[in-house]
Amino acid sequence: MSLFFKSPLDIEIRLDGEDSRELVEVRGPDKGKKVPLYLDGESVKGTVTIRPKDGKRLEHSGIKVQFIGCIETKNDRGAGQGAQPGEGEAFLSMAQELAAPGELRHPETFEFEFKNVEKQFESYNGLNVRLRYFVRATVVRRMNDVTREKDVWVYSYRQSPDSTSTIKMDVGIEDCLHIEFEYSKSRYHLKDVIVGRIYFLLVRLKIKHMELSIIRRETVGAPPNQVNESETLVRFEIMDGAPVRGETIPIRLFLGGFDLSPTMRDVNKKFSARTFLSLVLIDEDARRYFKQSEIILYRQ
Amino acid sequence: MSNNTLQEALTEVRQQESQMRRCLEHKGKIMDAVKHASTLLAELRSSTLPPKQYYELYIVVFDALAYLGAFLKDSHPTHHLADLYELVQYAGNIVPRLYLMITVGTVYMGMDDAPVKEIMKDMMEMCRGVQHPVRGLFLRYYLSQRSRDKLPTLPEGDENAATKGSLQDSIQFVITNFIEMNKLWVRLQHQGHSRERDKRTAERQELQILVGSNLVRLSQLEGIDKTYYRESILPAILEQVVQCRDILAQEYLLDVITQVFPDEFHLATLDIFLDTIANLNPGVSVRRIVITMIERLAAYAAREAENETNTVAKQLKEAHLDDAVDNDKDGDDKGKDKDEEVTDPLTAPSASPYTEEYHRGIPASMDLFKVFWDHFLGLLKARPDLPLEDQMAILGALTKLSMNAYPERLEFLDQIFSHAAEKLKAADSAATSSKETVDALLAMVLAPINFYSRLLTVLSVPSYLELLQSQTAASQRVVAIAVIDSVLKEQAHITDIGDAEGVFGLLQILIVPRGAAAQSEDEESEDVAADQAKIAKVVHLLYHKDPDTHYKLLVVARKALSAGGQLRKYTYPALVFSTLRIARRYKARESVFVDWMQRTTALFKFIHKLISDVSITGRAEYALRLYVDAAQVADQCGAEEAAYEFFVQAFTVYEEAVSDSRAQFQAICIFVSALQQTRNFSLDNYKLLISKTAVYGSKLLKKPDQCRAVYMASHLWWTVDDDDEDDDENKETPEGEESGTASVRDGKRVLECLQRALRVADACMDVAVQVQLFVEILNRYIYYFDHGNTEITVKYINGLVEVIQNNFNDDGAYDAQNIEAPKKFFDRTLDYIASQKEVDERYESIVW
Repeated sequence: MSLFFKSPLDIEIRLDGEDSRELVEVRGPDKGKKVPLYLDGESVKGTVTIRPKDGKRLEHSGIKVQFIGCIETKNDRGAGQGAQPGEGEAFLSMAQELAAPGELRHPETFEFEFKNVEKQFESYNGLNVRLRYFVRATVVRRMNDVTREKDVWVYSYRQSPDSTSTIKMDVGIEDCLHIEFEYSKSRYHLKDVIVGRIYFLLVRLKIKHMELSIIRRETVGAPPNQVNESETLVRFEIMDGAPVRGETIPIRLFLGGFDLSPTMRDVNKKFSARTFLSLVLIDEDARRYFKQSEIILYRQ
Repeated sequence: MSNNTLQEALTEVRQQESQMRRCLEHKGKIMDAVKHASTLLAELRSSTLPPKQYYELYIVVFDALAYLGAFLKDSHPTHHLADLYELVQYAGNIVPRLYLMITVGTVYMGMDDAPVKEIMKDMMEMCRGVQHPVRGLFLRYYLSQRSRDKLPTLPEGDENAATKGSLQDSIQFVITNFIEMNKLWVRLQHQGHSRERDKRTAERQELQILVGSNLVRLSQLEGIDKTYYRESILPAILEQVVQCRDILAQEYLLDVITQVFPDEFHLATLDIFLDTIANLNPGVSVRRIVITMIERLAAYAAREAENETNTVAKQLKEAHLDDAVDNDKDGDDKGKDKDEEVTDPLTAPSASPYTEEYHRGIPASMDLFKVFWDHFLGLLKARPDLPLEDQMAILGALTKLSMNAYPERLEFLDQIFSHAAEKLKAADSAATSSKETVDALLAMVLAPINFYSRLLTVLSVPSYLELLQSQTAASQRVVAIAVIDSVLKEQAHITDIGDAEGVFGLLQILIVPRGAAAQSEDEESEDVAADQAKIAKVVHLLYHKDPDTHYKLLVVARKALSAGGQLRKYTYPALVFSTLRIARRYKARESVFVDWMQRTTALFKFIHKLISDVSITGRAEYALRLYVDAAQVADQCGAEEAAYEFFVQAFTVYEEAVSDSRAQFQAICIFVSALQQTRNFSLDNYKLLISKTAVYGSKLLKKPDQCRAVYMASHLWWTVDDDDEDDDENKETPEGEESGTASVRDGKRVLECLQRALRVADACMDVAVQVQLFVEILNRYIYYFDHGNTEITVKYINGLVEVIQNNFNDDGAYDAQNIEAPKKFFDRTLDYIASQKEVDERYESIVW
């Protein structure tokens, strides 16, 4: 619609300290875009500047600014042309009136502040779902509102979980393969390092190599319309060649260099993003034998 | 095809390398450089290259990484190595990841603040991720190469050892790497198709150096002392060697162990080492391992012995640090090797073993030979099926050891030889006659002969001869020849009767050929002749100041040589001449030996027997000459009887056995010359002999021969004293003044002879020969004319000259070519006469 009616005004949203703030690179379709980072409970403060174009007088029915946290799924995005995206799934919505209905002749700047906003969830940009926070400024007009959004990114730091149990497993194929493996912990923070070992008890397969993959599994929606999708984030070869019985292969995988997200469970009952470690053995005929085990990732 | 693969891989590596260099040099972009390094390392993931080509690739990669490493070192701590060490671990593939880790890690190890111990441990642990044998071996080899000069050498107690690592950590590091590499190496054998087994074995042999390099490295670590080696290092290595149960590995590794570690270490750990051998895979050729060790120690003892004699300072003896054998398999650090292998006595904290007495480098408290001997016996018990050739080879090595380490303990040699002889008796013939056994035995019996400069030392080993005689003829021959060569090389006189007996005992096989050599006797190959000539030379080495003893030595020799049958003809002449020498010595010392005459007579009897033996072998002419020679010596010694007898024997031989006309003529020449030189015959005897000779001459078959024989015989009636021949030509010794033959001057008989010769010549049909003979006779005439034979008058000479001239002028009767030689001869003769005219007026009357 904006194609037909050229927007008569520009809206610019500026956040305080935007230049000095840590930026986060967003993955996914908007790759390369960097957005400022906010934490839970932090105030979101800034200014909205509205510039009427061509110095024309501009009538409006009010100016407001909102801070919204929402979960968008692919289905939603496709649905409802024209509907304000994200509105329906918003789990957080705060608004401030900046100006009462009136007229604008000159560019005008309004300050806004959402004090100590609780940002319950961490931002997430997955395959089918994303969780985003943004500031939206709206100039309400009779015909069509003019809006402008600005994304922010949110990290939510949690206390490190108390239990640090190891993952230990004993798997195999009868008379073919029998291995024991062990990861030092079941919970890792995002800069952590996964340490472990694989102990070969029986090897009758002609193993070519072995990999450790990190897989993120996204679950969107509730049954029966649930959508599952997995994405291999990291592939890491940990063994080359075939071991013999009794060999122990070490595992060490630094997580810090990868773009991982903390484990998310039933975020707002909408979606989950869980992480699995998958140990994959590939034999000479390129058959893959794997065992997945979930690890909990958290931000520290 | 794989060659293409290699080329492609190399191209890729080079490309990436140059990009990496560009990143480093121009922009200092370390991260990008590392990425290129990682890409080039990906080529090492190849499974298609055979080990050799993989090695080629590895070398190129190694160089590239060395460059990277150097750069990283310079950029530390701007780009802190600890960070890089973590960073490179993000590489997704394990092979490039580990190469990078090692590259960074080893550079980091060289830094002052580095947690060396931890890095070493970590790299070692992570390397387990590569289980592919070839790739794993190269990776670990890389680890070993890169860390080589960075391994800590701090003593255990050092306060920095906790972070910087100690020598023990280094040792552990190398040993662990060795064990893992060996496992991979052994595993290579068991992968893939069974029909490619041999190919894999070959590949493994190509790779063995990688495994062995660890042991080399270990031996290069400074500050390892014997005790630690014995208690920690060797057991760990040997355990792995035994456990892997792989034939190739066990053989190779034990060989390497033997080669790389210092001799003193071996001495200190011999028991452990030998015990290990008993536990090896039954398929392992124990022999090679044992022999290598024995020979190493034997060589060590030999070197030490040399040092002991060379060095005056006792200090050096105690340090007993020898130039270690250069065993470096890598080649790239040969220079270093020597320095590093030397253990510094000051840092060796062991309870000073240097106070111990050393004998040839071996502690006096240790009976090295016994240790080996017991082990050998134990081995036989443990492995009754040990092939005979292996047993013999080991015994051979023991022989060497015994000689080098205990040269004076001949009982050891006796022990070895009698054992060998026993085993040979017990074994079946197939085993004893196998080539390897024979060779091994040959080496064993040869060794002492070549080792002891006094060859006869061998003779005092009782079982030596026994063993020797149980050998094949061929082996015995080789030994005998070695004996001869050694004796001849020494050129020492053999003066002891026992020694002489011993030597000839050793030479038995040559004196009495057996087997193959005996059959070919008829052909009398050059070899046989050469061997016999050598024996003859040995005979000449028999010597003693005392002629009596010398004679006894010769008797011994004859006794030994008498078995030679036909071959005596080669050896007896030497005996004859040696004996003749004694005869002369008796004569020369007439005053000392009152009864020299009797002794000489005995000698001549001995000689007589010898020569008659020679004549039996069919060499009549030879015997004849010997008789004549003997006769001459007898004559000079004044033993007329003997001389006469010898001549008679010579004549007998002539009559009985010399039938060839040419030989007959030769024989007569010999008779004449010999007789002409005799001085001590009574006139009767002399005349008897010379007339006999003349008769022989006149009975020759061919006219020219006859003619020549006769004119030569003329000399027998005209003895010329050597002394006064020159000073006074005209002096005539009155006949009968001396009793000896020196005085025989019968001008008439001379003339008769010459006339007779002329007659014979005249009868010749061939004009060329005839004229030649005439000229020769003319020369005789002139000779006697010169020497004042009054019977020879100008008349004869002129007559003969005329006859000859006539002959020459009678052209057309013969072609000119044939008479060219006689003509020249004649011309020279005439020239001589012409020249004599100036000094001797008697010549004036000779005209032509």
